[in-house]
Amino acid sequence: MIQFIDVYKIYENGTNALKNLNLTINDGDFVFVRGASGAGKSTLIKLLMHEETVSAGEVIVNGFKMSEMKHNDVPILRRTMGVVFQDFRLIPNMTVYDNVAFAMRVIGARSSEIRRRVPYILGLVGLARKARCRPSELSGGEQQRVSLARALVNNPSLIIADEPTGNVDPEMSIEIMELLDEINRRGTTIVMVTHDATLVERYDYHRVITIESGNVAQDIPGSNQ
Amino acid sequence: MIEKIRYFIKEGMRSIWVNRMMSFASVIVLCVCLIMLGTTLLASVNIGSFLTQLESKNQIMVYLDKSTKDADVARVGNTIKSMPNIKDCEFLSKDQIFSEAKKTLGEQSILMTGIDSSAFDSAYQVKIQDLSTYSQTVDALGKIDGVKYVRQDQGLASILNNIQNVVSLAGFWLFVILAVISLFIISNTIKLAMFSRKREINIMKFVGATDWFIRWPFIIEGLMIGLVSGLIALVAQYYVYTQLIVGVIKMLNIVEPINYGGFLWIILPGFLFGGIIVGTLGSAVSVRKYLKV
Repeated sequence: MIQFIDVYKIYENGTNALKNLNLTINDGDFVFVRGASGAGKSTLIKLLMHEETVSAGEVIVNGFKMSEMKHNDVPILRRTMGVVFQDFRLIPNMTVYDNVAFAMRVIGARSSEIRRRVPYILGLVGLARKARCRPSELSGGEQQRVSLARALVNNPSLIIADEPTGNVDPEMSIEIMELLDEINRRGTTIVMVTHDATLVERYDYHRVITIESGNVAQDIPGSNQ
Repeated sequence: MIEKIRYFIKEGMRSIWVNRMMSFASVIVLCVCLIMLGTTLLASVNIGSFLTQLESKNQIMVYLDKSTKDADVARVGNTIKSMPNIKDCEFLSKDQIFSEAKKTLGEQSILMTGIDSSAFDSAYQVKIQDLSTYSQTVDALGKIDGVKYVRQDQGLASILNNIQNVVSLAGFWLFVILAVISLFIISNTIKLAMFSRKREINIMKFVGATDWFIRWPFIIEGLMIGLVSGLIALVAQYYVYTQLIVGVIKMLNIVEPINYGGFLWIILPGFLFGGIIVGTLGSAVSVRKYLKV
């Protein structure tokens, strides 16, 4: 579960990014987060990942109270979630297999477990045959699927997707959405930031939260929630 | 745990290979710095040894009265030997001094016709340890009962003493300045190498890697680069010194060059530990900046 309670975020340069934001996302939800540039979407994502801390209020993610977290707790929080970025953020000098396996090595998974799990996840995103390729040899859509595989490999309870379809063609966007939809059906919470109105309309059975000037302007519950 | 250690080593090695241009640059910079420091040290020790060899030629002759009896000769010898700052004291009889004088004159020894050894004074040939107290030692020698006069070359002694002071001071400061410059260049090279991998570290943080999990491969990488640099610098300096410098010193034919083998006990650990410490610390400190995500 994710909770934003009376959250304010003011950056050092004086930018007031979030103003008294209150929001609850339940386990298993699929939520689209929309809003114009500068509305506060990125700050919301950064707070979820503990990349930034609140100026006032409280954020609770998967049982972690952000205001009480110590530096050593941050990696443990991040292991409960998978993150997909618009720019994929793959390690360029590692193969597809190693990029995905890396997320498992980080949490101390055994080699035998890695050898069993990574091919399975790569199969799930349709990239089993590209395991030995480097990211630069893949298309944008394929790179995003690797990023998704890496986010999924540790079986997180939450996936944060920051504009995952922003750098891929419309056809591939649908494929990625289908994958996220399937992952959500298996019980994983998905928080997806997007600008793509067509995509939101197409999957209108999910909850849509619109952020404006650092606050929730609109919260449309999904038909399946 | 063993699996983790194996992973860190493998990752460290892989990083060296994947970022081979940066690794190569780091090795070169570290090598050059180590060689510069080692050469300064070698040069200053060689000059020191050169001065010591010159010093050993700086002798004081303590001449005895002709009337001095054998028992007194021995007493004077014992008094000299018991004095502080005396390195060596050798008795030269009248005959020895006479034949030495003839040898020095060579063909002109004909001038000594009609003169025998009785015209000469017997003497003690004295070498002293510390040139800075040269004049006090000479004064003390002159005051010994039975000593007629002391022949000495204080000019050379003071020149040698001054040179030695300048060399050791200049050597020390040159070493310090080079060490600071080396550290500056090395830390910048490592920072540059680290900057190119900022994104990689950032990704590691987002998938939940702990700081130490990220740091260890970098430390191993720095350690390996340091070790390799130390070894290359050692071999390079050995060849340059033994093949080039020793040749030049021998050609000048003034003094004997110092044997590199006798130096190995300073140079070997100095280069290896110097390389390893700079490489490891440089990596560990530089990576810290990018861990704050």
